Amino acid sequence: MTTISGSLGTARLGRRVSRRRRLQPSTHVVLGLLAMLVLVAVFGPLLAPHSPIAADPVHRLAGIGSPGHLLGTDGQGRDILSRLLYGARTSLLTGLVPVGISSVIGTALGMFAGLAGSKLNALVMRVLDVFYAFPTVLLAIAVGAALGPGIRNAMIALTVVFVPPVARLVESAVAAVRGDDFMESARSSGASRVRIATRQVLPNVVAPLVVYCTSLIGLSIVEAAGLSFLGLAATPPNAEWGLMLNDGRNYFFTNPGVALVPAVAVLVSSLIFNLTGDRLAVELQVDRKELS
Amino acid sequence: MNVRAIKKAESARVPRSDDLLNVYGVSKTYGNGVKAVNDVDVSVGRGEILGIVGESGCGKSSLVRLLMRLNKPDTGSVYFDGHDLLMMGEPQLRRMRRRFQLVPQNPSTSLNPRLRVGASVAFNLRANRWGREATRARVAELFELIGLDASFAQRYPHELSGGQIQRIAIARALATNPDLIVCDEAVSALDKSVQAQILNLISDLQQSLNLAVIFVSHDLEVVRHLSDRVAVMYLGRVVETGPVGTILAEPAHPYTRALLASAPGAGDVAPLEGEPPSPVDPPSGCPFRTRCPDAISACADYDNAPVEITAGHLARCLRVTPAQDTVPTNPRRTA
Amino acid sequence: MTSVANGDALIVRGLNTVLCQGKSRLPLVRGVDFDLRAGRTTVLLGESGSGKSISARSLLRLTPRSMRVSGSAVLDGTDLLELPERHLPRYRGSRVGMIPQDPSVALDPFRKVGRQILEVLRVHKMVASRAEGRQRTLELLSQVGIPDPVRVSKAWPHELSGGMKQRVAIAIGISCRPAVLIADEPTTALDVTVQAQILRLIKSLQDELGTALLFITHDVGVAREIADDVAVMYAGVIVEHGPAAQVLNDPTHPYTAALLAALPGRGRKRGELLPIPGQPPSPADATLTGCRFAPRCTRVRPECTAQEPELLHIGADSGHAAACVEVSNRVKVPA
Repeated sequence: MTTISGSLGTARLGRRVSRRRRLQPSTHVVLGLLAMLVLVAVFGPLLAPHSPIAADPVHRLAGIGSPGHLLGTDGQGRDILSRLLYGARTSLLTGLVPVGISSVIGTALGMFAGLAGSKLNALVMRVLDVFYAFPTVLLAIAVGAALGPGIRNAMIALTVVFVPPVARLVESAVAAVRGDDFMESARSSGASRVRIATRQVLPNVVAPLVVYCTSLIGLSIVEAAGLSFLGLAATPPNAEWGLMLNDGRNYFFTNPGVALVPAVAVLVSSLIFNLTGDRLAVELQVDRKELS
Repeated sequence: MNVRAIKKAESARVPRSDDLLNVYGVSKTYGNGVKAVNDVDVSVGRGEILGIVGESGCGKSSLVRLLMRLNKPDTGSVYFDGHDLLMMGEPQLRRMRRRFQLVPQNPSTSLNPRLRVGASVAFNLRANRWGREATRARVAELFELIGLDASFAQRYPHELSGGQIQRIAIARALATNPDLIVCDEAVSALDKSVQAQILNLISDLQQSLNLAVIFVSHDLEVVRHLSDRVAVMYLGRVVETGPVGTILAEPAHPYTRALLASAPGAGDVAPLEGEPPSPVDPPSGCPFRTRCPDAISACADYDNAPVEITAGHLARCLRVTPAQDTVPTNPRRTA
Repeated sequence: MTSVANGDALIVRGLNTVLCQGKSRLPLVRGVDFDLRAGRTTVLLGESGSGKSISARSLLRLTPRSMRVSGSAVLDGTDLLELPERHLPRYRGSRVGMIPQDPSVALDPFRKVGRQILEVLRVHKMVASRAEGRQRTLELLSQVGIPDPVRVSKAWPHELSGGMKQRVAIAIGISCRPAVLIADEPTTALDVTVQAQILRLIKSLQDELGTALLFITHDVGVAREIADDVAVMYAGVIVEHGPAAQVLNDPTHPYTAALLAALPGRGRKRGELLPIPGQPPSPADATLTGCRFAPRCTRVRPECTAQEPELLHIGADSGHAAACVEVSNRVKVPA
């Protein structure tokens, strides 16, 4: 203290300020948006004015704001708003499930690598690096194609894709505290490795992990929609945003709304998760540089 | 591994029965070639405070890690209360650990930043199978012992000052009623006015709990103040050990003399020339000979065991000879 | 702190530094006055957070943008704090030399030592030609006690030991024959034996060059070694100021006295240190009124919290002053 932080005297001040426990106003806004998204996903089917798959050939390709069809209809005359509301649930699931599973697997792997000796660490991390070297989209497509179409397979594909980055993040969070004095104290306490890992190391991993995974949900939604668009996830006539986007492709010049509405929905929901991640980073005092 | 070291390890002496910790001939060379600790003997009696003093890179922190069995020495042996820590299996060692505890150096990392400080103390108890209720009571008791209100247990480290954090680190070390605590530069990062609080605390606790303490520091004043005995380290070796009064009044090793003379305010003595050589490639023979004002050519080959000058006062120097009155009891002379 | 005498190199009056964070204003340095005289060493002594380093940086406006500096610092008839930004480089590093705390940070790791010194000389137009610059670089290096200037000038900073790097940093500090030299904890990062060398070097260079030296430290021992005058800082103000012998041997302000009593040293037995209770106040603590040391002071009285005491002289013309109600009440302070 005396030598470094003390010489500027601001370190201690900075800490005092950070004691604030109340959430910042912008966090409230973002959390409100997130709550709305979740509510839409849960209660969407109740809110939908029409069936998502009932075709009405008379009113094909109605524009946005048409009477009875707030967001218009698609090429088969299905109500876009209803399809959007039904699809929200699928989209949210394709965001949450792969990230949820991969965060558990990735954390286990990352903790193991972080706390193992240098040779095991190198082995695990280099293997993960091989996966990491592929662009996520390509990897998801490859795995998805190998498993065959279907929402479940798409989620498995995305889980496989997300494990390496999560493991890498966790490993670096472990590495950040591995050499700290408290770890040495923990080792000399007589505690088992497992106890040290769960009680001492894990609390240091949770904050960056939560922040990262929240942002990852946004990415997962986008990628799941992308897989559906390519026909690797949801199958017609199910209401799914990526699939809707694909349908709208054919009518882009006659009725752009058919493609634009689901595109905006994907964008907005992914954005909400990214913003939530950003706010969590601020509230949990996680340095975003650690995450990249 | 040189032949002498092997011989020494094989003939590992039986520990003196009254000592709590005995370290014989330990050496450690790291993967990067740093010879951190080189053939060191150290012992601590029950309820005794041993000060280890030396400059940065002298190997004192490495020695601490070896005698705490956080790291394995290449050669040598470590006995705690008569038990050979190097021969012990992992489960046995873990059970033994509650009896020797570490107080680390750096207040900014000595407590887990994401745990309430009470939980950091409780961790050591839970790890040693204390029940939930017993742990809670013991944590409260420990906070009282170190002079902090029990409400502090609910705080996070960043809400506390450096001195408070080091107090809690001491509470954590004392949690399982150890026989020995090892303070590795535990007050070096603190302000002087706060440092005094912690030094008094350690001294009080040592007396009331009859603790043995190993106090490692680069600050001779602090070591002098707290210790019963002192070991002076230079470049991986203990160059002199002895009762604190003897070392200060009649330092036998030229390095000890230089260290005493370098202390600020010690007076106008010519300071030591140069800086310690790299521990990757230490000088042959006596490691201090490159800076020693009294060095002679024979120092390059000097590799003898420490010479006992008076009872309990040992130095590793070519020029040191046992004092007259000890001659009859010294086997080397009588032989 | 009497009227402007001959030989005054730098006169600092009413130095204030305020940290602005959003709407909050935290005073870090509050109304600091001192004079630096040619050939004399003034030590700013204080614990971490006392504002000693910020005071020194404020003089050269090296503080971060979030800090606002006011007051005056007059050097050669020019107020450094009023000077337009573009004229500052003429003073920084030339009329006022700096010796950094940690030379391994201060030196550019990607340029050889000799080139770094040469550049300073060229920038401040101390030499007419490159050849002269090279000549002068070697002179400077040998002046700071480097035995092999030619080799060192061609070395990279990382090839040098801590003590050598600090010598190079000192060479840069004195390269432009400054009127004032500011050394901010220049030996804190060094080992004791090396610290003794560097302190010696700084003293002898100062005698040789006759510069005024402002030396910042938290170490009373170092202050004893080097100071002519001592200014003790606490919570952003100078609480005691005067000749080193008086301040450090016969302190008037209770804080100075308490700081000295907290130090381990000869003649103080184990457990007998007198720590200062509590922690230094945070500048963010708006509830404090009056003397900032009052909450920790053993001699506190009701009037202490009423008004912050001014720095008042003790005796007629001793140059010894303290900011304590005991002084204004002209009570003889027991030693």
